Order: sequence, then structure tokens, then C-alpha cells
Amino acid sequence: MTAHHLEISRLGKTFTTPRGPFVAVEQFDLSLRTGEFVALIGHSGCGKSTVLSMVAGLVPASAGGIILAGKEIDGPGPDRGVVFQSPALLPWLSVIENVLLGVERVFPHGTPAQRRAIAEHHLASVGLGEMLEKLPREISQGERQRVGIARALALAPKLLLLDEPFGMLDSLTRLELQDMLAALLARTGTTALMVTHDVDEALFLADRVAMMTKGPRARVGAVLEVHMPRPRVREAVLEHPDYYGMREELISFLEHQEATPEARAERGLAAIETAASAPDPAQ
Amino acid sequence: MTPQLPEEATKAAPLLELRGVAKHYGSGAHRAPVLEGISLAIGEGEFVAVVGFSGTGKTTLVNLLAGLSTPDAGEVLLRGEPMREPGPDRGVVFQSYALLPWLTVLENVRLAVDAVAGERHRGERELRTKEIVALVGLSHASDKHPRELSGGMRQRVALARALAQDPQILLLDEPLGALDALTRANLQRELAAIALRQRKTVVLVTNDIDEALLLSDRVIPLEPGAAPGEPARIRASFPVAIPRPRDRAALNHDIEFRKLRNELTSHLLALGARRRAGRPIAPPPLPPLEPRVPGQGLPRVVR
Repeated sequence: MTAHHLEISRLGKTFTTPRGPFVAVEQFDLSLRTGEFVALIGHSGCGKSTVLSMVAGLVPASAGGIILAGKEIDGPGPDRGVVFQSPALLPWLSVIENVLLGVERVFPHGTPAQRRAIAEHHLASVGLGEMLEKLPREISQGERQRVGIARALALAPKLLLLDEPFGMLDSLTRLELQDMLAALLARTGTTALMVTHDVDEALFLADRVAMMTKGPRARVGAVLEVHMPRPRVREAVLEHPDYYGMREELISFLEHQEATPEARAERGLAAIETAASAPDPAQ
Repeated sequence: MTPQLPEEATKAAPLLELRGVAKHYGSGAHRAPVLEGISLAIGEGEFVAVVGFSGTGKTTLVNLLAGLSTPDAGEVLLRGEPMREPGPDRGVVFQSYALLPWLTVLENVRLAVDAVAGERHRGERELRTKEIVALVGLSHASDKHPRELSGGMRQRVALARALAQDPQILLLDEPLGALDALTRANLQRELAAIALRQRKTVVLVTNDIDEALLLSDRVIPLEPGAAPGEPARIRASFPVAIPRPRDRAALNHDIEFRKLRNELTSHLLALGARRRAGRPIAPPPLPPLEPRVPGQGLPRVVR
């Protein structure tokens, strides 16, 4: 029995390249309590998605280990629900049929009516109760990502993994989905690990924000505790006396990870530029 | 001492004005109202940002302001006169760049310069073309074709083409929506500088609250209808009383900016929530089932 729900210990990932081994992630340590929401922020290409993929079991670890609810992870499984940037719904299946695909695998012992109830429950929870029979092309991009979240939660996962889930959405839709996710997870108590480069998003959703150093040999450089009870009301978060201070802390951590403006320009980075003081070519 | 004009007098002559404008698409059973009761006056030199959710009539609004479409009710006035058609005094930049793929950057821009200054001497037009390409920071890429450019560079060409007409009014329809965050930040900075330096009146349509607050004198939320199929309206206006141009990093410390950012975010999210609240469905109860891991000697799926 481990003290934590999820324990990532001395995790490492080395890729073989024509120019020899490339150590992307090294000595990565992070543990999550049951029901905790942790955001992982870092530059594009720093290895944060690699870490998430290893926790998902989609990429094997080169070193260290991951223990979820007392069991070591050695491959993908439905005990971890994953939400990617693009929900990749099957276009010829309705919204509810897309969700039922996974539900049938995890609840084969239930009746068809029970499985349908599970899918309906989660779709209604993400605000799509009236769109069950729609095809993916008939709904908006934000609604499709709602389906992606319902599909992941319908598996009753022990851990929800979110890889830049709102990265493709316009900024208002992104705020709406953050609100929805915050309320939903506070209700279900699902433990979640989210990769993002949106500092505001991390501060709104997470109990703790883990900041990754830039690769190679990326690891957790610092962790920020967000002392605000969840679910959070956006107005209260934005008006919290510590909010802009915490925001600065995250942004300046990320800034110090980035050496040259060229390197910044190479990686299209949301957090950095919010405080960037790059020379203005128009002046 | 020069006499000061009373505020009403300056307000009485907006450069561009919408008065009680309504617009719908389709007819009969398929009639879909998009905008209704839209009134908006834009003063000369003003930078106005219209912020709204996707699919709520933002582009329809830009088309009306550009004269690309006409309202079903109400009036669109340019300097107090009814607007009848598009004109070179209004430059429009859309989210999709619509560049001519077989022409270089310089040639794409030259086309726009020639369209408005065709009677000028060739050398003069050439100079003007190069000036504008330099203005958007693309001199080094003058001879490249659109396919050789990044999204940000293509959007610069589109902006250059609009500026080439030397329009009094720039109408920008989510011009930076398709760009990554870093490129967007750079172009925002340049847009701010160009608008100020060239004294342009700008209407920027966007879904990004931070972008609106960084650039504009006034943020106008486009209120979506309370239910799907209902038209959008304009009811509120948020003045941004922070001198332009603004520095992004400094804004983060600005109390006024923070206050406005909070207000606007709450306001817009409340409008969005109202739209969704039209169809609340309580989640049905979950059956008492524990999930199982597939592939471990389980019974077949009951169908």
C-alpha cells in the first residue's frame, strides 16, 4: 500500500537516435493524492507529454517506475482515461455510440440498458444531454472535446490524464470547458494529471502546479501549491490577492528555462510571451 | 487658448455607425436571425474590439461594416451617409489569408497598391509597395511565395495588402486566430504600433479577452442569443482607460487592467452560461457497476 494514489518515481526516458541516446526525461518525481488535480507545465518539447504518455502506458519508461493505486503501470489500460488535444471521434458513430465503444469494453458484465445509462450520465454531465444522437460533424469543436472528456470519464478511471485538452479551442470556449471540467471533477473526485502551457488554466484548475525544466534530462524543477478550495469560482480566483503573484512565479520560472529569444521563437509558447520583453521590430 | 469642443459635438459625428441593425440568413422555415438591434458608433481614430463566442455573428458584423452585405433593418452609416458598397476606405483582413498563391509577397501587395494608386507613376507605386512590405516586417521575404511562408507571415501579407489601400478604417476579423501564441503576441504588438502611427480607426473582432484588452480603447461584447437560433445583440461596452500602446508585461501589474479583465471574463462567461442553460438535462443515475479490465477472463458482452 503506497501513501499516494499515483506515484511517479525516478522516471526516465531515453530515445535512441542516429546521433546516440537522447535522454529526454530523467529523475522525474511526482506523486498525487487521491482526488488531487496536478497541472504539469513546461515548454513545448520539454518532455511533459512524454511523461503523460508513460503514465498512460503508451510509451514504455526507460528508468524508474509508476505506481497507480498500488499497482505498477506496464501498459495502457482503462483504469486511466486519456483526453488528448483532439478527441478523434469516429465520424460515422453518434456521440453516444462513440462513448459506448469504451463502456462496452469496461462494463461487459452490465446490461445494454445499464451501459447506455452510463454513457448518458457522463454526456449529460458534460452538458451534452440533448446531443446524444448527433454525429461529430454536427456539433462544435468545443462540444466534440466535451465528448472526449465524457468518453474518458465513462470508463470510471482511477486517473484522468489530460494532454493540452483545450489547446485547439478558441479562448472563450476554452474558458467554458475549464469551468465545466472544474465543476465535474470536484463532483466526481477523480484524480487528474494535466499537461498544459496555459498558466491561467493551470492556476484555475490545479491543486498543485508542477513546473518542468527544459529538456534534455527534463524533470520537475519546482512545485507551486494553489491554496484555494475547489471547485473554484473564476471571479474569486482572478480577484484572489495571490493570483497575479502566482502567475508571475510560473511565468518567470518558464522564462528562466529559456535561454535565447531564438529558442523561444522556435517553440510557440503561450506562457512565455505573456511576459515577454522581446525587442519590438516595429519600433 | 483653443476652445474645447463639447463632448456631444465630437460624439455626434462618428466615422462609422450601426443604427438598430438586424441581419438574418435564409427564409421561411429556415430563416435564421443572426444579429438584432445592433447599435454601435465608432469615432475617428478609435480602436474598438468586439468580443464574442464563435458562431454568434461576428463575421456577419464585419461584413456589414465593410459594406459586403446590407442589413435587413436599421442603417449602416459612414460619416453620417448610408453605406452602399465596399470601398477602399475600409480595409478588411480575414482569418484566412486569401493570398494569390502564384504571386510573391511583393506582387501580392503591389496588386493592392496598383488598385488604389493606378494613376501614379510606376516608380512611386513600387516605392509604396516596398514601404508597406517593410512596415509589416517582411522585406527579407519579398520574393517568397505564400506556400513558403508560415501562418504568421501570411497574415502579415494580408495585413500589408489591407494597409496598401491606405484605408481610413481597418476591419479585422479574427486576424490572429489561426496563429500560435508567440506569433500572435508579436503581431499584436505590431498591429498596435501600426494603428497608432498611421492613425487608423480599427474594429477588431476576436474571441480573445486579453487581445481585446491589450489593443483596444473599448471592448464591446457581442451577446449571443439566450437560446440557439436567437440573434446576437450588443448591450454593453467596457472602456479601457489605459494609454496605448500598452506593454503586455506591465499590464499584468496594472490594477485597472486586472479589474477589467475580471469583469469582462465574468460578463462573457455569464452570457455563455445563459446560452447553455437553455438545455439543462440532469445526468441520469449511474448503475451500480464496477469497471473491469478487459482481457482478463471476462464474460462476453451481453447484447
